Amino acid sequence: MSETLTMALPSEEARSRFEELYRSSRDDVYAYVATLLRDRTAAEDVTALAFERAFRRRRLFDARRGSERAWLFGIARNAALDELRRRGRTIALAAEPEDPETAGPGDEAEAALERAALRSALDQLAPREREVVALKFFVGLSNEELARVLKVSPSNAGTILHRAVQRLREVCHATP
Amino acid sequence: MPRRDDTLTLEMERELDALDLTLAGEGSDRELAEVVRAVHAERAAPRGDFARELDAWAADGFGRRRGAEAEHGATAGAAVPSRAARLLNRLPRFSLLPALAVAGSLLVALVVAGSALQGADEERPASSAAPAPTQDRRPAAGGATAPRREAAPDELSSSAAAPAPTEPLSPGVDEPMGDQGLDRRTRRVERAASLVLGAPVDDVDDVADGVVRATDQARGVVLTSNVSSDADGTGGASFELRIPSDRLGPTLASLSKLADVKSRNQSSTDITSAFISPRERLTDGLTERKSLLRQLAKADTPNETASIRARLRTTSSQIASSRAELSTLRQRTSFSRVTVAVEATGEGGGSGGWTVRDALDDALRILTVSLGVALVALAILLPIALVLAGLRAGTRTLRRRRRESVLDAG
Repeated sequence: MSETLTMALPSEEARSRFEELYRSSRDDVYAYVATLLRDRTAAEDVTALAFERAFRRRRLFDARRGSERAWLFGIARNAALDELRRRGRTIALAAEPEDPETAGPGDEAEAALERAALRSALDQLAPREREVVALKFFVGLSNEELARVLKVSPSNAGTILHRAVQRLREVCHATP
Repeated sequence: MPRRDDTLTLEMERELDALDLTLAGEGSDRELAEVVRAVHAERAAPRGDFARELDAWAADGFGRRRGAEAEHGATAGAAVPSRAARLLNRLPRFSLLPALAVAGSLLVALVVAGSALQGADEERPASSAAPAPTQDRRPAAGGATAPRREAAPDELSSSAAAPAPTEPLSPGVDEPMGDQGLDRRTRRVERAASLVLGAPVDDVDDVADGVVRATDQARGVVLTSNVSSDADGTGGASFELRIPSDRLGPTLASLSKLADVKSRNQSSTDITSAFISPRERLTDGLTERKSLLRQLAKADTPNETASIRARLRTTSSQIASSRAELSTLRQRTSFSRVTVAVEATGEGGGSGGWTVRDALDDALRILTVSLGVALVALAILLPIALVLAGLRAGTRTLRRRRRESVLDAG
């Protein structure tokens, strides 16, 4: 094996690992960021930015401090919060026209009601709770990974998650 | 901001476990499964165009997306980062502050080390540092005892180079010189110092020249000097100097730099009381002379005139004696007695070469200085590192709180 190839190997390995992380997380990152920003266009920008930042900083990743996914979502979270701060306002996702790709053409009335109620419930959640719901339900992070992303204790992350789920349960249960 | 009420009860833990099971498709809680299904239905999926664009960028190797930051900045109303800002962004931020602190501390340590080494050089024997000798003050060497220019103590008062006496009083003839003329708060102090220098036998002449030069610079006087160097490597020099008292300190410092100081003694004697008696005698004599002069003017007979003249002569003699005594005392306070002895150490000077002992001495000196520098650097670095660590932690916390403030505001 030539010296050049030997030196290039770690970089190639890192790139390959990152590609794998990208493939497994692209949609999750978008879903999480869209939940935080509640703006599809901004979510696309921030998703791309998050991956770009993560790729630039991939050598700083320390496996002792958590999983790659938790690290990636930490970066995505910071990018999203920065974007929110820049904007100084949030755009309600509900106010946007529904994406034709995600909207079911044959939604029945009851299902539509349920979705509206749940959307309303999600809107009523505190931003931190909504964020935790996204990370748990959309991304599937463990409670430890949640804590790592949110930079809180696992117990605290669990408390926030529990409270959010309780509220969602109440809404879903109350919907006829 | 995270809530303080973050204690997980057992029941809460069970429910969270149930949620994990439900999310994994293994839960038995139907109500929770409904919630999960409903929330999943709300999950936003990326547009097909965007996903394809992102995939293409990923396939391209995740290079910097052209205009990505600019586009994002434009969306957000932020400025496009400059090239310098992007370069700074590439550096790991956490390493900047400590690196700056280390660089600053090293700079300080270097300055301290430089000063310390310079100080060490100044304390070396004057074999190389001694200035060139003057032509007419150079002591004769080569086994002979060579007397230098000698000045009698009386010369001091008339010497143009001699500074003004330190006390304000002058020996004027008719000035009032009672107790009120001698301010008791003005202490009259006689100072003396002795210095023994050690120098390699080859350097004794240079050191002797240095002594004369230092004396000249202080406008002092070399009363006696004696320089000798014998063929067997022994020799030395001795000087008796008079240095203006107000320049004694700097002169001793200059002399001490000429060679290794083996001993240095300074003494001071309060001779204020010694001034009182001659002053009183002078005042009395002046008063008596005035009185005698008045009596002489009124004298009628030759006998009376002769008697007064005889008493006037005696009084004038007493006045002159008192003035001479005061002058001597004044010289003792105005000039300090300094004796300098230069002893040959028996070592060769610059021509002897660098010996193992010299090397060991130098090594020890370097080690001492290095240790000192290390201690100084540590003393500087440690607080700086602590402050920086605190600043870093504070900055990170502040940045995080500021960032998360949008969540609390939302």
